[in-house]
Amino acid sequence: MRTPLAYRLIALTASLFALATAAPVAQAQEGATVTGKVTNAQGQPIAGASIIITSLNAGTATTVEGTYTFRVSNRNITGRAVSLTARRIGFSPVTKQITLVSGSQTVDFTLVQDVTRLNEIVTTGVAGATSLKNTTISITKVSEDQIKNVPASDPIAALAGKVPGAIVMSTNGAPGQTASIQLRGATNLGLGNNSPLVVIDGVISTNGMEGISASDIVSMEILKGAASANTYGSQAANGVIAITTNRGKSLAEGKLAITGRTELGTSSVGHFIPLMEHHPYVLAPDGSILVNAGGNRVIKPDHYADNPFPSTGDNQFRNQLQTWLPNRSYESDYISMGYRQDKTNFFSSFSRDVDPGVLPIVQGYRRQNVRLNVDQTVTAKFDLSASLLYGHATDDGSQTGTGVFFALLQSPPDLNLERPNGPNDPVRYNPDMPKSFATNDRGNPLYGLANTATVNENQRLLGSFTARFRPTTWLSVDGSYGADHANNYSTSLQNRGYLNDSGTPGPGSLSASTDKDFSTNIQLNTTATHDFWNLASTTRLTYLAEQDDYEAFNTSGRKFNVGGVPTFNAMDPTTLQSGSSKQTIRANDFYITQGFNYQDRYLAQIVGRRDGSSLFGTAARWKNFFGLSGAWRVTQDFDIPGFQELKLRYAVGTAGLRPSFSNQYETYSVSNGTISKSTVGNPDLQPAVQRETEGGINATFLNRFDAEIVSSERRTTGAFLPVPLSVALTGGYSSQVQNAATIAGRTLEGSLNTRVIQGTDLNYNFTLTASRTRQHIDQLGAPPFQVGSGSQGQAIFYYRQGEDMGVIYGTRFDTQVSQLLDNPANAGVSLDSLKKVYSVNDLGYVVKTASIGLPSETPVKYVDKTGNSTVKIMEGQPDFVWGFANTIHYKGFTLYGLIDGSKGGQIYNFSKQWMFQDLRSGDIDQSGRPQGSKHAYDLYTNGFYNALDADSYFVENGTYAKLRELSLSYDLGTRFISQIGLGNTIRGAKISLIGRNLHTWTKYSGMDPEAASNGDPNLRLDGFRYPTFRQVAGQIQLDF
Amino acid sequence: MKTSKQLAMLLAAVATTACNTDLKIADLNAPDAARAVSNAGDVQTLIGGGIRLWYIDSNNVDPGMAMSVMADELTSSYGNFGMRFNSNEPRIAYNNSSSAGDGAVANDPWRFNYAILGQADDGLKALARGVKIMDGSTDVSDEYEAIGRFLQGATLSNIALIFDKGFIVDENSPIPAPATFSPYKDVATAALAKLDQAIALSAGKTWQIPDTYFTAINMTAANFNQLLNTMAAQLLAYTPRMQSETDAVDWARVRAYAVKGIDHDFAPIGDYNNWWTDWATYANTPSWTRVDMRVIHEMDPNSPVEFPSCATPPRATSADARLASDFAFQSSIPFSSARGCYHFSSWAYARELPYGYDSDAATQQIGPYPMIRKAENDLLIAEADVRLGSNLAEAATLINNTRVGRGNLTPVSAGAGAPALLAAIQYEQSIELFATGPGLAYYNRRRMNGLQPQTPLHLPVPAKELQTDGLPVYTFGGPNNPDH
Repeated sequence: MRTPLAYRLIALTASLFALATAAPVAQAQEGATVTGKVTNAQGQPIAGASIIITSLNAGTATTVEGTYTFRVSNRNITGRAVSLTARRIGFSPVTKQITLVSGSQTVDFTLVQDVTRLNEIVTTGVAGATSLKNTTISITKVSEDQIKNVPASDPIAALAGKVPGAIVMSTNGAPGQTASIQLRGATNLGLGNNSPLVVIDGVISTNGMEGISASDIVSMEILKGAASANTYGSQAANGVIAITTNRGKSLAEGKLAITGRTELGTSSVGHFIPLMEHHPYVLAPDGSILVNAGGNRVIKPDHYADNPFPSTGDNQFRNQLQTWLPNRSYESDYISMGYRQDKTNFFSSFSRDVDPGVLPIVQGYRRQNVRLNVDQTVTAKFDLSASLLYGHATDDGSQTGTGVFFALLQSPPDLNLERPNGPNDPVRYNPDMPKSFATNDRGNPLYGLANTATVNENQRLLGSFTARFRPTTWLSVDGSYGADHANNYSTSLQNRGYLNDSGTPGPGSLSASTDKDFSTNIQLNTTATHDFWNLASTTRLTYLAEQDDYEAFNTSGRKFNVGGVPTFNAMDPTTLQSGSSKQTIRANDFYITQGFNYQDRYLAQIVGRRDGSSLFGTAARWKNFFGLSGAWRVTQDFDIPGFQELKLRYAVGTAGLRPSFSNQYETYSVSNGTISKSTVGNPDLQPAVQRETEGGINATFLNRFDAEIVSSERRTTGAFLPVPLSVALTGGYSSQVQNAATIAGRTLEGSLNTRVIQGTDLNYNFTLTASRTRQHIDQLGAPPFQVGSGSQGQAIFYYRQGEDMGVIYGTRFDTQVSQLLDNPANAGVSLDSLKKVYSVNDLGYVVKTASIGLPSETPVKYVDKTGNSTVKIMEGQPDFVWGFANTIHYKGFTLYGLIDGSKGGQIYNFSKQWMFQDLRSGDIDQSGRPQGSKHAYDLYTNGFYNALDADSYFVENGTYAKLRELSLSYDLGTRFISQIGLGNTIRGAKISLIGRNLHTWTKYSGMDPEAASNGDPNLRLDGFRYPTFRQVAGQIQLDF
Repeated sequence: MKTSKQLAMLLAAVATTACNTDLKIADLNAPDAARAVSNAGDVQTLIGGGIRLWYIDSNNVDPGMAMSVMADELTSSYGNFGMRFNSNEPRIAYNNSSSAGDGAVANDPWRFNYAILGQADDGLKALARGVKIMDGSTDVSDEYEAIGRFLQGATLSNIALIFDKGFIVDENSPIPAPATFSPYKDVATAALAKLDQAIALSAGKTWQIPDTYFTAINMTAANFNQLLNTMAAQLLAYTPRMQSETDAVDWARVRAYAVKGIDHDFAPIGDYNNWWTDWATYANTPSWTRVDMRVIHEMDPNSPVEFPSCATPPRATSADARLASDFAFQSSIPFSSARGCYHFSSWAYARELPYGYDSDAATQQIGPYPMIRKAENDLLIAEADVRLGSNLAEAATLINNTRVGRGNLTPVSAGAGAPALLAAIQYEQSIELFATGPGLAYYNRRRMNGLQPQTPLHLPVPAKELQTDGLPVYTFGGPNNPDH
C-alpha cells in the first residue's frame, strides 16, 4: 500500500518545480559586482574564506591572496539591504549589511581568530543550518583541523578522545578493522549493536564505516542520544554520526588546487607480555630437558617452574611473540584535486593504504578510495550536488588475527616455529610439532598463515544526488537519492597436500562466500522560514523512504580431485556444500522539525516523527517519536562579567532501535535440507525506544575558555532480549527475541577548549574532554543470563535485573581468612580455628598453611552466606574516560598530541587464563622468587586456572592513559618555497613526524588495556585480541 | 529553464517510482512455521529429517566424550568436550554452570533431544489433524507416525539415560508445558511406551524409510522394527544407576525385546556432510584420545591401570587377538604430565581408524560406523539368559561369537556358572563394543557399580534450563555432592 502523504509530498515538490520553472526569468547581462579582500588581524590574507549573501544564495570564496569577486544579477537588485557574511573555519564570522547597486562595490573584511568553536555551523538534527551558539541540543562537531594532524585509519578512530560522552575502542586492532564507538552507554544486552547511525553526506550508510577513509572528512557532527537525535527516529537511539566530506565550494575561483600527501612508517607491538622463561621439568646433565624412556618429560618433585630453558641450540628459549610479531612497514598516500569556476565546482581524491599490521608472512590490508564530489548551480534558484565514493579493500589473512594470537600466545617457547622438528625439518612452519615439546599445543599458527590463500575483498560504492530548489526566499525544497552498495567476497584455499595437525597431507579445501548489500534512501525536504516580528521560524518537513536488499551465497568443498586447479570444478562434487540467504528491509518515515529563534536569545525546537518499518512486528508496524528542546542565551539578556557567552539548554526526546530481520518471523530453520526448530518469532516485536533528557550549559568566558557541561539521563525501554525459553517445555524453541529489558544510563560529560597562549609566533591551545557514564539494567524480563565474549570465550558477562552493565560473576578467591566465615559449611567454626588451618600466602590468597609451596596449594573459593559460590568479581564500567588534545604552533612548527584514557573499571584477562593451561604465562615463572616463597605450578594451572571459569585472579585494574596521537610538523611557508624557486608550482609544503599509540601507561598486564569483546566497550575482556599497534611515520604534504 | 524543468520532472519520477512503501515482507530464508505443519511435504521433512538430527545429536561429542572418560573407556587431558575435568582423579563435581566451559556436556543433550522431540510432536500433531503424507497415490502417514513415535521414544530414552530427571512431554502436552520434573525411571517408562507404539506401528509392514532420511542402510519396516526392539532392550538394561537397580530389571522383558532385535550391525553410513558420528570420530583419533589403560589392563592384567610415576610401562601383551587388531600401540603421548599422568596411555583405538581425524581427509567420517553392533544385542540376550538362569548354553554361545570368533580366546561354557558368564559378558561389552554407542561404556560400568568413586551417576539438568525455570542449580559428583 502506498502512503497518500508520500504522494502529496512528491506532488508538492513536483508542482513547486513546475511553478518555478514556468515563471519567466530575466537573463541579466549586467548586475552588481561585489569585490573585496579578507585579511586576519595581522593583515595577512585569508584564503578559502567563504563570502555569501545567504538570502540570495550568491557568493564565492577568497583566493590565495584573500581577494574575492562575485556578481549578483539585476533582478536581485531591489534596493533593500542584504547581509554579506565572510566565514572561515577557525575565525569568527563577520556579517556586513550592504545595499546592492548596479556596478561594482568593495567590501573588505577583517576576521579575528575564533577562540571558540561556537560560530561553527551545524546541520544535523536541526531544522536548518544553525550556528552552534543557537543550538538547543547537544551536537559535538569535530572539524578537519582536529583530525588532520594525525590522519586516522578510519573516521571512528579519529574521534577517540575528542568527543565527550563517547568511548572509542579498537576492539579488534587488526588493520582495516573499524574502531567501535559507544555514545553515552549501551542500549542493548548483547543483542543488536551499540553503534550510532552513520550518515555520509546526507546518505544513511547501511554498511557503517567499512572501507571509508578519514582523509576526505571536513567535519563530523555527533548526536549522542534520543534528546538530540530524535529526527532520526527508530534508528537513532545509539546516536548519529554525520560526516561531511570535502567539496570544491570553498576553493579559490578558477584555480586548480592539488594536494599530495604520503606517509611512510613502521608498525610494531607496543607492549609484549611476560612469558614463561623457565619450566618445572628435570634437567639432563647437558642442561637440556630430560626425556624418559617413554619420550616424556619428567616433572621435578617440587613442581616449581624455575629451571631455565636451554639458552643455545635448536631448543633454546624463544620469546615467540617478539620473534613472530615483527615490525612492519606501512604506507598511506593521498592526492586530491579541486576546482571551482563560476557555477561549477568539484573535488576529487584518491587515497591508498597498505597496512600489514604486526603479523608475519601475510601482505596485509590494502585499501583504495576514489571520491568525486560535484556541485552545479543551474539557476539562481536551482542547484545540484552529486557525491560518489568508490572504495576497494583487500586483505590476505592479516585479519584472521584472533586465531593466530590464540595459538601464538600459547606456543611452546623452546621450538623454532619455522622448523619445529629441527633444522632439517622438511616442512617450513610444520604443523606437526614434536609432542614432547608441544604438549597440548594449539597448532603452529604460522603454517596456516603461510599455506592458506585467503582473500577478503570489500567493495563499496556510496553515492548521492541532491537537487535543491528555492522558489522564494522563504521556501526551499530539496530531494535526494542516496545509494550504498557493499559487496564482500571471501575465499580461502588450502591446496591438495595441506597438512593437518598430525602432519598428514590432506585433499585440500576451498571455500568462497560472497554477499552484497544494496540500500537506497530517498528523501524529500521542504523547509520554510518566516519571521513573525522578532521570532524567526524554520519549519522542515521530511519524507524518507528506505530500502535495503541483502543477499549472500557461500560454497565450500573439502577434496580436490585435481590438484593445482583452485576451482570448485576440480573438487569432488560429493564434498561440496552450499548455502544462501536473502532479505529485504523497507521503511517509510515522516517527520517535521520546527525551530524557533527569538532574537538569538530564546531558542526552541520541536520534532515529531512517524516511522514505519518492515522490521517491526506485524502487530506494531508504526511508531511515533518526538523531540522538544529549548535554550536561553543568558548573555544576550544580561551582561555577566567575564562571560562572553552563557547558554542554558534543556532537551527531551525519543529515538529507537530496529529489531533484526529474522526476529519477528515464526519459522523453522532449515539446514542441509532438513527442517528443525530454534528461535520462535515474535510478531509483536516493536522498536526499542529510548527516552533521554539532557540539560546543558555552554559558556565562553575570559575570552579564552569555551566550556560545555551536559548531564543526560536515558532509559531504553523494550530493549531487545533473546529471552531464553525451556526447549523442553516449549516444544523445541530455545529463545524468543522480545522487548524485554530496560536499560538506564546517566552521563555527565564536559569539554573545555582554551587558547593558553595567543601570540604572533606562538600559539598553544588544548581541548579537554571527560565523561562519566553509569549504566544499569532497570528491568529484565528474563532470568539472569550470560553473554559471550567472542572467540574462544565463554559466556561470562552477567545480565541481571538491578545489575550494572559490564559485570562478571564467577569464582572469587578468598583474600582474608575471615571471609571463610561466610561459608555455611564453616558454621560454628571460629576464626581462630580457621586461622590454624588457613593463612594468606604471599600472592595474597587464602590457602591451607600446610600446603604453601606444595603442589597441593590451592586458593580457597569464596562461598557467601547462602552457600552461593558464584559472586560478582568484576565491574567493567570506568569511573570516567577522558581525552586531552594539545596543539602548539611556533612559527612554522606545529606540535600536536592527544592523550586519552580511562580511569577505573576492570578488565578480564582471558588470554592469560588460557595461557595458564600450558604453563605459558610469565606469572607461573618462579625463577625470580626466593627459594622459600616459590609455588608449584599446580597453584596456577589448576587453582587460578579454575577450569577456564571466570575467577577473580584474572580481574585487573583497567585504568590506562594512551599517547594516542603525536605529531610534529613544519610548514615550509610560501616565502621559503619562493626562495627555492618553486613558488610558481608549489603553494605549500609540510613535513611531519607522526606517531600513533606511542605509549600506554597502565598496570594492566596484558598486551593492551583497550580491550573489549564483541565490539562492545562494556564487555571489557581481553581474549586473544589483535592488539592496537604502535605506528611511527614520516609524512610529507605538498599543495599545488 | 528547460533544464530545470527536466530535472524537476526527473526527480519527481525517480521519487515516485523508487519508493516502494509496502512494509509487509516475507522471510524467504526459512519455512514459515504455520506452513511447515500444514503442508504434507513439509510435515514429511519435519518428521523424516528428525532421524538424521537424532543420529547426529545422539552421537555428539557432548556428552559422548565426557561419558566415555568418566567410564575410563577413552582418556584425554584436553579441556575440550569436558574430557579433562570429568576424568579428573580423584573425581570432581560436574561443573553445572551456565557460564562453564564444559556447559555443553549437559546442555547439548538436553536441548538437542528436546528440540527433536518438539519437532516430532509438531509432526504428529499435524498427522492427527488429518495431514496425509502420500507416496505417489499411497497414503504413508502410518510410516511417518511410526517414525514420530520412534523419535519420541529415542529422545526420551536419551534423557532417561543421561539425566537424573526430565520433563515427560509429547504431542498432547500444552505449550508451554508445566515445569514438572519426573525422575529418570519414569522418563524411561514413558520412553518405552513410545518405542512400543513405534514397534506396533512398524510390525508386519512393508514400507521402507527413504534413504534421504535414514542414509543408505535399507531401513525396511522389518529392519526398523528390529532396531526399535534393540533400543527398547537397551533402555531397560542401561537405565539402572547401580547394581541393585540392575538386579531389579525385568530381564525377561529385556530378552523378549532383544530376541526381536537387530540381526546385523546398525551402522549408518558416514558421508562427512550430513551423516557422521562426531564422538566416534574423536574416539578413532589417536592425537586426541587414547584408550584408557584400565581397558588395556582388562586385556593384559599385568599391564598397570595407569602409568606408574608418569613412566611408560612395558608394552602390554594379551591372548586376546583384539589387542593387536582393534588397538594400536603409540610410542608418544600427546598429553601434558602437568595435567596428571593418569591421562596417559600408549594405546589408541584403531578398529575404525580411517574414520578418525588423523587419517586422510578422504576417509574421515566416510563409510559405515557401527552405532549398535549385533554383538551388543546378542550380549543383552546372553545377559538376560544368565540373570534369568534360563539358558546358559545360549549365553555361552552368544559370548563366544566374539570372544572366540574375534578374540581367539578360550571359549566359555554354560558349566562355568553365572558369575563367570557375567564376567565374560562384561569383558565383551568392554572390548568388543568399544567406542560404538555413545555412553555405552558409561552405562555398562554404572549399572555394575564399576565407575570410580564420586563419579556422577548421571548429569544434572543443565543450569541454563534450571535458571530459565527459576529453579536452583545443583550438580553431582566429587567430594561435596552426591553421585546421584
